[in-house]
Amino acid sequence: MTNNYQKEKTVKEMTNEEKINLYRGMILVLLGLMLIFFFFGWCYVYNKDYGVEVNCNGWNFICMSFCWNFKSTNKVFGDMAVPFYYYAKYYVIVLEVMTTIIFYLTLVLIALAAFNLKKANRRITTIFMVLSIVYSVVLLAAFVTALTMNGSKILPKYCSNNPKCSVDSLIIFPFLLSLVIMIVNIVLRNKLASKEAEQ
Amino acid sequence: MKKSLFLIPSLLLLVGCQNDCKITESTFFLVMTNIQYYPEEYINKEITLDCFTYNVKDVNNKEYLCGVRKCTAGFGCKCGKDTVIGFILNYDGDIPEPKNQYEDTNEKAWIHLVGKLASEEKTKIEINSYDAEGNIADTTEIVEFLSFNVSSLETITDYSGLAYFVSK
Repeated sequence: MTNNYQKEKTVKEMTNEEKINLYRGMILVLLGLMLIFFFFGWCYVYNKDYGVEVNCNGWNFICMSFCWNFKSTNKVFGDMAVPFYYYAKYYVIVLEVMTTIIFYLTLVLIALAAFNLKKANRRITTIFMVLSIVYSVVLLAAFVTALTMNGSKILPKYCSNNPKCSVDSLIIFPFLLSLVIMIVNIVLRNKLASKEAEQ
Repeated sequence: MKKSLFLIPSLLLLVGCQNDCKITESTFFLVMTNIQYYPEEYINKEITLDCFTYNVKDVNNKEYLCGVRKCTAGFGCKCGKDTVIGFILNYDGDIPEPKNQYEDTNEKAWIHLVGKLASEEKTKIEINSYDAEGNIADTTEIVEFLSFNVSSLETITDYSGLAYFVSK
């Protein structure tokens, strides 16, 4: 009877341990996916007839954070100089600051997730949770900022008020991914807490 | 991996034109658009480009001889009709007369130019508007051109590699 109980407990522990490993790995994979999501259109002008007219992705903003030359024609900055910076200067600067914060937060979260992969620690998951909340908030703010470019001079000047044009953003997807990361981390934290309680 | 580590900083160093600005076929639209929006960035730089001659006549029949290429209106936005992108040319020597400037053909008076922007200020030219059939409409519109001080001009005879219409 005692042997059976011990066996069951060991199987349960293994399952718990496996789940913890799964969640730790999952967080790292999702954060890796986030780096791919930076290739999504951070802000772009969409024309119903022609598709995407001009575009700036997350990496364009990250590259810009290293040299801060918004008037440059370099292709690593996408169409930032024209029309975005020219017609929506302050929106672009705000989005630039937010993207820089998002990028460095991604790196910090990856470092924490990698550390957690080596040695699971509830305190780290707590720090991770706080940072991932900030991360989601900044991503949501960046998404809203990108959409508010519809109120800038881009549409009336650059697009001559063409009703078929609008400024759109795909930051909603990294935002949703950040929520998934946050949820997985909360589950991981609970698993670690129950494991500690059992011990 | 090593390559990309070097590539990113190198790309970041290549920020637009440095001292000289050689506009090529692949960069024509992007750099010329940038010059129109941010002339102050190019004011003391030597600019090299290939374009064709084009006459702009204002409502008072005053003519401005320009070096241009055709592009979509809005400098990249496909919302409007086609337009031209280029400069009013300031040159002491002879400039070839425009040829087939309105026609959709590459058979134009092509020139190779070296020079500098005369000023950051644009010249506003009031021109007649045209309707969809190409007839002069009752309304007028304002077009703006930067002026270009040409230091060297050569006629291009083999323009097979040049496109009269440029886009992104």
